Amino acid sequence: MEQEFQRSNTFWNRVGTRLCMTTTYSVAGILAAILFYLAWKGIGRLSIGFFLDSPIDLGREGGVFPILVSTLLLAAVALAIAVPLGVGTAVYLTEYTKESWVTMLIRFGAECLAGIPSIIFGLFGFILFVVTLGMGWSILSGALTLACMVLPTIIRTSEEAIKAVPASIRQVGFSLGATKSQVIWHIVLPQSRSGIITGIILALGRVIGETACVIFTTGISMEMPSSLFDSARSMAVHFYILAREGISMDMANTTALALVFMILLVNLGATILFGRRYSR
Amino acid sequence: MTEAAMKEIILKAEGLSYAYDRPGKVPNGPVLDNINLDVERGTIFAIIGPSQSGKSTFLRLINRLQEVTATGALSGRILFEGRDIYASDYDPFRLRREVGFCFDKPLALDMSIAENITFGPRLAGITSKDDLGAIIEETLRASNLWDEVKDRLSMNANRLSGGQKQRLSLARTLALHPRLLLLDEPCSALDPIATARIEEALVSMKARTTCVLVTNNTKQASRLADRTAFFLMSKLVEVGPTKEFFTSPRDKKTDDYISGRFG
Repeated sequence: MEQEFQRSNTFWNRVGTRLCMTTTYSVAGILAAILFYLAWKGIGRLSIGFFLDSPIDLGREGGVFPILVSTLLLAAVALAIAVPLGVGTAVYLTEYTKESWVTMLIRFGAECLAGIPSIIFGLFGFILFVVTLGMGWSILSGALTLACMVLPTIIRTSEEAIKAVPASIRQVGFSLGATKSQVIWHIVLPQSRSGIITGIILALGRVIGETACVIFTTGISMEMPSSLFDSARSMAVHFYILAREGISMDMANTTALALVFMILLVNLGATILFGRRYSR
Repeated sequence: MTEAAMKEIILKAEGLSYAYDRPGKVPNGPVLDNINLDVERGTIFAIIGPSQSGKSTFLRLINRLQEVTATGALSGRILFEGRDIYASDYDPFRLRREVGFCFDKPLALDMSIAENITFGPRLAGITSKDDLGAIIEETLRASNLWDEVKDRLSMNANRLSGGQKQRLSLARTLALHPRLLLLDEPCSALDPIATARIEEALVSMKARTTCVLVTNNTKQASRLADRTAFFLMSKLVEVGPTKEFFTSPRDKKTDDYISGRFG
C-alpha cells in the first residue's frame, strides 16, 4: 500500500512538473514569437533618424521624435497625478481606517473601475476634461484620463504591498518614539516600495500602450507639443493610424517595435533606479 | 552610590488593572488584576510566569505601546519617575524615547545596520554625523555586536542572523539612551550561545539603565535579576529579592512554578 502510494505520487509529481514546465515555456515562446515577428517586420526602417526626426508626409517618411516626446510627456504627467493619489488612497485604506462598509465600498468601486474598458474611460475623459472643463484635445486631458484609468491598479497593488509589511515592524517604529505618520513614511512605505513600484510599472505599461483613451482626449496632432495644453499623438495612436489608414505598414511595424522597446527600457530603468536597494 | 540613590524608585505600579475591549464579545475578565510593584533605579527586575499571565501586557503598558495595537480599559496608575504616564498631559512619544522596548522576535528595520540604530535618534532630532557615529559605536559595543559588524555597517540589517538581529534591536533601543529598558522575552527565539551574549550585555548595562525583563526562562531570571516577580493568571503572586525568591518562596504557587511542577 505504502509503496503503491509512493510510486503514484512520484508519477504524478513528474507529470505535474512537466506540465508546469510546458506552460512556462509556452508563455515564454509566445512572447519570443511576438518580439521576433516585430523585430523582423520593423527592423528595416529602424535607424537613429527614426527616433530623432519629425514625421514627413503623414508618417510615410521621417521619424517619430515629437510623438516619442508626447508619449513620454503623457505618461509622466499621468503618473505624476495617479501615483500620489493612488498611494495616498492605499495608505488611507490600510493604515487609517477600520474595515467598514465605507472602505468596502471604496475597494469595490476601485475594483469595478479596474474592469471598465479603456474606451469608456476615453469617452468619459472626452466629455469631462475635453468638453465640459474646456481643456480641449490636449496632453493634460489625456493624462488626467489615463490617471483615472490606472488609479485602481495602483491602489490595489500599493494596498497589497503595504499590508504585507508585518505589524511587528510598525511596532518597532512606535517603540522608538515615532508618530504614526513617521512610521508610515520612514518604515512602511520604504519597506513596501518594491510592491508599490511593481504597480507603478504595470500602470506605466498600460499608459504607454493605451490607444483608445488617448485618441479621444489628446487627439492625433503630430506636431511637437509646446505645452500641456497642446494636442499630441502617442506612439500607440501613431501606430494605429499608420496601420488603420494604410499609410505605411513598414513604418507602423517599426513604431510598434520602438513602442515595445520603450516599455521594456522604462521598466528596466524603473527597476534599476528604485528597486535596486531592495534586492539584497 | 549612596544608600538613597540605590533606593530610588524609577517605576511604580499602583493598583493596576487592565482588560481588553472586545466589542460584541463576552468580556474575558481582566488581563491584569490589581498589580502593585516597585522597580529601583539601576537594577534588573525580572517578571516570570506562564504564558497568558499578563506579563507582556504589563510591559507594553509601561511605555504605552499597548494602546497602539489594542484598546482596553485601564485602572490604577503607572508612575515613571514619579509621574503618572497615563495623565492626560503626558506625551506618549516622549515616554517611548525614555522607556525603551525590546521585542521577543528579532526584528530589523529594512535598512542598513547603521540606519537601524540611528532611526530613533534621527527622529528625535539628532542630525550631526559625528554624534550619530558615536551612538552607533557606543550602542553596538554595549550590545556585544560591534566586533561582528564594525566593517559592514552599511549592510542591510536583514542579512544578520537571528541572534545578531536581536543584539541589534538592543543597540537600536539603547540609542535613545532610555532610562528604563523593557525586554519582552528577548531570548525566546535564540540559541544558548546567542542568549549568553545578550545576557552579558544586559549585566554590563546595569550601570547605565534599569531593566524590566519578562522571561519564560526562570533560570535566566535567577541569573540576571536583582528582584523577581511572579505573575499568574493576571495577578502578581509574589515579588522579592531574587535570591530569596528562588531559595525560599513564600507562596506555594511560586514554589511549584519555579521547581517546574506546572507552567
